[in-house]
Amino acid sequence: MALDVVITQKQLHGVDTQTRTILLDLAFRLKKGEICACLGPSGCGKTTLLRIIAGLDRAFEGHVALPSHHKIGMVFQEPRLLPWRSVAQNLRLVSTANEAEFAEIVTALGLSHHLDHFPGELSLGLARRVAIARAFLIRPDFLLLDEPFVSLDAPLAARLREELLGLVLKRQATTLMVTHDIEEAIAIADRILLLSAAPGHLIADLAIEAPRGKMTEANRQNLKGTILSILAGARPSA
Amino acid sequence: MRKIGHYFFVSSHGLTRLVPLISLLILWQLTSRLGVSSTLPTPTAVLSVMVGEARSGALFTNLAITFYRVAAAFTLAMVLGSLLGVAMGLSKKIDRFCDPLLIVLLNVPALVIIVLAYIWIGLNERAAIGAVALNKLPNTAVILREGARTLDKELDEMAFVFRLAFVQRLRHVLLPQLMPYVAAAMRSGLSLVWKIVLVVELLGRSNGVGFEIGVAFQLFDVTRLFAYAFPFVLIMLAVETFLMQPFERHISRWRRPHGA
Repeated sequence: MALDVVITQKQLHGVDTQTRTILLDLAFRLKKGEICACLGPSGCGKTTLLRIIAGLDRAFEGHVALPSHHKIGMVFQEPRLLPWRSVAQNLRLVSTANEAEFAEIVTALGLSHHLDHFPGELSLGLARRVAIARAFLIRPDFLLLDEPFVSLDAPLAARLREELLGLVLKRQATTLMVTHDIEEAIAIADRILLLSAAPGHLIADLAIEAPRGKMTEANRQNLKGTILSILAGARPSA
Repeated sequence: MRKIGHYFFVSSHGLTRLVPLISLLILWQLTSRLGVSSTLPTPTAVLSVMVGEARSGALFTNLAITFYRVAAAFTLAMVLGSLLGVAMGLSKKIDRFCDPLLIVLLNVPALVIIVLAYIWIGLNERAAIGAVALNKLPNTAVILREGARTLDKELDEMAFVFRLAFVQRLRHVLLPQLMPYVAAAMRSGLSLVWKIVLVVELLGRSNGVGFEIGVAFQLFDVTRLFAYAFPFVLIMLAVETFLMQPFERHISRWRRPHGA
């Protein structure tokens, strides 16, 4: 068992002292090396879930169990690079990879020519790639991805997905990716968790049976249909 | 240093900086020649007193001792003021406790602090430097508190998840964010400190530029006053140009040249 998450309740306190429940009775376990996508509508607490697992948010009821020695590589929704350090410095700061691995990851994400740039000189797509490279360079046991491809154009997102998948498989990192893009989830995951609208709880836990890369277009459409119907069924009738 | 020298003397930017100073000098020479006032000496008269003082060595001794006091008080105020300011910016508790004291300190006239320091600590170097530092400290603290309040939470979270060691976090995440505030505090601080150092010297020291200006005042000797004031202004101008500005360029090197 790599990751055990039990969240009985998570509340957020707004500025107006209003309290709203964002996650309710959410529990799941991830096996080592599993690639899991967490899919749900905007505002259902997906980012909060990742923050809880990463240890950034401790004010919740429940528990999160991780192996005693673990390293987390996280790709936040925003790149969160240090603007005053070059791309290379940003990467080296966290990197525990050797030179060969460093070069391999940098090349895979197409960053070789951008190592001397400052983050402010990069496009959003490039900055995202740096953030992904950084997450891999700490040689993570867990990879937490918060909509890493949102607002990128489709061909670039597809290419980055491929690169990401290649790196994840190689590293054997247990991966949890949060997204609201059904096709993205299908393209990457072994398993898809469907969350309801806030307060988010688990409405379906789908394993993808077709082996990776062997999935046909029909499989994909089929799965997408299933997911859409589950989501439609879960929508509050009001 | 070569690069900096180039910047100052050769580039048009450096020349534009010198033009107003040179015009002022010419204007001064012309008006003093007209004999408008007996208390305005000519630049050449000032220069000859300056050379005389330099020959006897008194000029350099006094400049050096004043410079030492400025540097000591400035460093003390920057270090302690920054620590206090950052602590106040990060902790609401510390802020609530220290804020009234800071406001009091900001509003006590420099002269009161100086006189009290001399009376309580004695007419010595410690009192002089301490009094100057205490005058600058609240100002530094206020600026750095603002800096600490604007620290980026998102980068802090990144540092936490990626388990950056404290030293790394300090060096790569926190200090670069505080540097613009440090630079602002330094810029306003240096001029403030050297002005107050002169007052401190006038009131309770027997050497330094401030003391010499006090002597000049007693003799009504404006030439002597200028002979001491100008070289020190030049030194501070050099510090500003060769230390402060390169420092500021260095800390903002990552910003885009246009916008950002």
